[in-house]
Amino acid sequence: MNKSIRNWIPIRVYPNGSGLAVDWCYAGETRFTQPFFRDSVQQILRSPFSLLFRRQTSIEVLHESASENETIPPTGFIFHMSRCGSTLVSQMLAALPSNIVISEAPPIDSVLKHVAGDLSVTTSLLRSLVNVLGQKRGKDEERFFIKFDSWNTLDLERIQTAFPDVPWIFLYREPIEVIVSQMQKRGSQMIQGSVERIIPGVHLQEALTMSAEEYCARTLASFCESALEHANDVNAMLVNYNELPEAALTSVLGHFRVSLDEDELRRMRTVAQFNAKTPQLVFEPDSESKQASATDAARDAAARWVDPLYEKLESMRLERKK
Amino acid sequence: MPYNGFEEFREIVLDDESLQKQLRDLMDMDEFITRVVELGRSHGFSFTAYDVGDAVRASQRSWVEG
Repeated sequence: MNKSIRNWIPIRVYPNGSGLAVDWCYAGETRFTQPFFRDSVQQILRSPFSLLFRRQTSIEVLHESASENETIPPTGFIFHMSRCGSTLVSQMLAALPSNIVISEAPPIDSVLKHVAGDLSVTTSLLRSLVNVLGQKRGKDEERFFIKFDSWNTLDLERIQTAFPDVPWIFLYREPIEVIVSQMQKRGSQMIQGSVERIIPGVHLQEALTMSAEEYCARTLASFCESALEHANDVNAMLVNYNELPEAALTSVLGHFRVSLDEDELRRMRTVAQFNAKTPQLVFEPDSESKQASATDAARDAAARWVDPLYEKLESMRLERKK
Repeated sequence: MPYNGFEEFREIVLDDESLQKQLRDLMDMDEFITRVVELGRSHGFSFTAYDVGDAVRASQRSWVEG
């Protein structure tokens, strides 16, 4: 097959026989502006043509297509522990037409999940996929950011190997506030067995015996441990939720080597007034209410498994600010 | 052949930028399906609007369930 994929995007990567296959849809110049990649794709698929005329190809086509079009190399990566302002940061960046922002894209997670063994294969595949996702489809686009799924923090090593020069941030928050949020509405990664080996050394049988609070806390701990392991990298920056939204307009942009004018900053600031995941709603701070509503089980789990790691992250972050 | 030959026509469209351009900007589903059937006829196919509608529903299912 030698069909142009200009303005086509990979929306799914999945196992097919002995290899991987790619599902593509035509996106034209439609920007990714929804909180999550899947929502943006759903929006694109409202076009009858994009819905009906999708391509399914082998993974090799991804490699072939990677060099076909003008593409923007990644400007910055966002890693996070979940429920800690990462969607706020990605939505603030997506407010600007000059930014391509991919948020928790299933194709990226699929590659990391299904190509676990050979590092060179993962590197090659990730680069081709990111290259195609970073296609310049709009005339104003000049930067490209990727927000990964929270559990991809465990893949930091592999992602850094593929992109050794891309600056990245790790967003985190007071663990009890994240646990309370997860207990109110659990993300898929917090359901035992949904993400393999999310807690290193813990097999499914053991995970199934844990309380929801313990499983959540130990999962958050694994994210924090991975971030700490790589936090001294020159490309790394730690960002606490309590620094948002201002940090997204100052230190984060500086770390990503991005300089914006006042109008662009104003546009980003406007986004911060709204709930990042449900932009029709106004943002309401909820740290106090989360702290107040925490159960003893949640507090115990946070204290035992995550708080010490949070303290280390804070110590490193504050040390860097001096 | 699923959808009465539509799958073969789909491959022709995917290979032909000029055909794609005639369909990409149609946002109304009924108008879109009508045009797909017209283009199919002009290429010697006899699938109907019902066949295209079935293909659309299958595409939606594959996205939702995938």
